[in-house]
Amino acid sequence: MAFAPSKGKKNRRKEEGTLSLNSMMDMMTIILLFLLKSMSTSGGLIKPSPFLDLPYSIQEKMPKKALAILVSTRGVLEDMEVDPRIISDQNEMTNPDNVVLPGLEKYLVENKDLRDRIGQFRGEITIQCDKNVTYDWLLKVINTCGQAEYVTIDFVVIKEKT
Amino acid sequence: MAFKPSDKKKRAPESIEPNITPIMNLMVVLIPMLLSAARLTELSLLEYLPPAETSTTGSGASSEPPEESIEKLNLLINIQPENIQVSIYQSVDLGPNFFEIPIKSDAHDWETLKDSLILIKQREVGEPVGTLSVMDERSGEMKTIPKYRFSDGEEVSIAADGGIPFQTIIRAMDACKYYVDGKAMKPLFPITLLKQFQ
Repeated sequence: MAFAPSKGKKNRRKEEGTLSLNSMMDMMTIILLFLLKSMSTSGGLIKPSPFLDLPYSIQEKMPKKALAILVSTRGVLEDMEVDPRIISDQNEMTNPDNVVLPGLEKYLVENKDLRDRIGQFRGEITIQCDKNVTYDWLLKVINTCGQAEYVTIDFVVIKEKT
Repeated sequence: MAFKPSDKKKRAPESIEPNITPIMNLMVVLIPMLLSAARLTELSLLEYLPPAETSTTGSGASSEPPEESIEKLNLLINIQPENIQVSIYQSVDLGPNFFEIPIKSDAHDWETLKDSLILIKQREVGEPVGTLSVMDERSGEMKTIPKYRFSDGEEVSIAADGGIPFQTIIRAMDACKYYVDGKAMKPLFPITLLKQFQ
């Protein structure tokens, strides 16, 4: 004779499986705190341009806010994250007669006048320069900055561990 | 007959867990946002100060020679694709005052350049002979700087062939900044002037 099916097994309520989120919460909290801390120490004043390959250096000067331009192998560009405007193009840069770059000089003078009007001109400029830009281009950019009375030039570099 | 004490009193209180799902949702949004904004590379600034007019207002002892009689070192580093030329006292004849450092393993030899600069600093410039109070034309503030027997005892001019990439110039500037003497970091030639190739 066959046994009658067990009533206990069929009627037993299935236990609900709950996912413990506590350990995941701990992990998330640690990641969040780390990210917040790294945000506050870097200051977020300068963001490396996606259009450039910045050089490495052992310098340890903290970034500061100033007028910024980008110097790439395409020429001198406005500091924009998306589709930056070309201030001085390749023709201007390669022209041997150009000791001072007319496009860049115009841009710098305009900015100087703007800052002069609100009393904020300090002659400081931050240059993000691609590591492959040649020395003759670099000298032209420096000469133009000097001509437009931007006498304190800071180059943005990636800090290298010594 | 007395009633039996209620079982409810003895029942252990159920632990109530807070609902952390909304907090988790917040974290899931915040973390990708912060990750996208985080800078994984640490940026720094390399300061380049082109020569500016400075006026000396005080110079210590009265026995000091006038400014005109102070010698100049004229340290110049010429970077070429095949070597680095180092010159002092405007010398152009090969010897202790003008020498070339050839490239090593297809790269410029910055270690040898640094060693040469340390030698020049120690042999030619020496220790500071006093201090100078100088008015900085840019900031308009007075500052005290070390005074060497050369008026350009902390300066180096760097010139390069037109095709030399910017990274190479940065390496040269790094090599000129300071050196480690024992445990102390001492300035080498921290004031850099970029010049036309000579």
